[in-house]
Amino acid sequence: MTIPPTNSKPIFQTSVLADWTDEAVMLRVCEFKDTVAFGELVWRWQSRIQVLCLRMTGNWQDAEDAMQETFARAFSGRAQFRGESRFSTWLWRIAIRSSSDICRRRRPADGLETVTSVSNDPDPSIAADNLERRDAVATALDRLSEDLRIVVTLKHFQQLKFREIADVLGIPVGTVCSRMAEAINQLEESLKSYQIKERES
Amino acid sequence: MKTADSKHPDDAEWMLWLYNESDVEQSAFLNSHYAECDHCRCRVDRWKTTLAKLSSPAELPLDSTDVTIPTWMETSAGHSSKSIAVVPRRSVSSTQLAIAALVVVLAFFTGRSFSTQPDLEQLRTELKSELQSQLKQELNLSIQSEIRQLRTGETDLVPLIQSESGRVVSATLSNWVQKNSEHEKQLESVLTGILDNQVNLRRDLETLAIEAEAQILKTRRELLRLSAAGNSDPAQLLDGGATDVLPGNSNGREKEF
Repeated sequence: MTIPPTNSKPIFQTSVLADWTDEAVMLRVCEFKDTVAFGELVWRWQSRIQVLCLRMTGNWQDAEDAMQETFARAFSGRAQFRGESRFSTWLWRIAIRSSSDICRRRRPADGLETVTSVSNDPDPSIAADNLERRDAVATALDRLSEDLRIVVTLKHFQQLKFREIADVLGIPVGTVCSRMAEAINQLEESLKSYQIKERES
Repeated sequence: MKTADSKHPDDAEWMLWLYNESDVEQSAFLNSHYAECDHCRCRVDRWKTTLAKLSSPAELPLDSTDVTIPTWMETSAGHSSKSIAVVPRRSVSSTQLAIAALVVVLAFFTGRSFSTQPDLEQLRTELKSELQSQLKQELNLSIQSEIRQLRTGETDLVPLIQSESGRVVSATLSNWVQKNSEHEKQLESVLTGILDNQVNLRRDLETLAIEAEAQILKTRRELLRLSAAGNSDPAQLLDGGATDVLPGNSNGREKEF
């Protein structure tokens, strides 16, 4: 029996993958079903995806679920990534879809548990102010429609360019900008009560 | 209130300008419009204030190196210094900075002067063991991949088996064809015999038929002769007696012949 020619793959380690672009790593995941490479992508993107999911769902638990679902969907649907678009665009889309699904599945009776964060400020009065502001912002964001919330989250909290947001959502740049303006107008209305309170204090 | 003469830019244009994403020409136009038009400035300032009130990206679990904050947020009137976490709340004087730098430099040199020499042998042994373990891991992985390759090589047997079975099948088939041809030959000879018999039979029958026809003609002629001799109507005799001549329909006259 003849031994076939060796076509052994190189042994990849996370340190090697660190220099690769997201697209290159994802193509490796697609080709070899490489879980180590996918782990590298998760490590790179989890915090940003978590923030997006948090702003979209409004609470930590759902955000965690949405994040896990995002990466699970990305891995299971890896064949759909052909390297024609940027990996980030593809992943943002999945994350938005996952978050929307989680929000839709959430029972209305559960209500919205707004994002509460712990302030690290040593001054208690400033810490209280910050917490109050964050709660007000979270409530205002929750009041926005999903389309507007996505744009605000991607633009303000993820610092994406308007062009990138347009790519992710598949809409023109002008529409994204208009939605952003509309979202800010609505946020302004929602935050009025907080502003009045702040002025009084 | 002072307003610009030109048309007011729309929300989308202002948004691009707010986030420093408009092109140079547009940016220049919007800058001048912002300076001249009170209506638009008021609107844009309200947006700035609202955006400054949103929690900044630095407050969230995000890698701070990825965060870039638009310049206008840092200079937003009266709000940025309080509401955005990334903007320092307290100003640090240059004297404080100089003292801090001095302390750092002093600490560095003190540390350098009092520190002991690194144990090279220990470092070498640690590095060696670490490298060995890493090499072992890599070797293990490569061996496993080789084993996997060998396992996949077993598939090479399949075409061999296929060719062998093909040879057996072809031999069986040729045997069968040979036997079949012999059977065909036998069958052909039998068929030829049957055909010969049929031909012989047909010839006998034809001979018989010709002889019978000749006999009939002869009988007719005899009848005509007899009728002529007896002055009777030969046609009547023929019409009435034609069937009587047939075999199996025997009567007295047949006996006479």
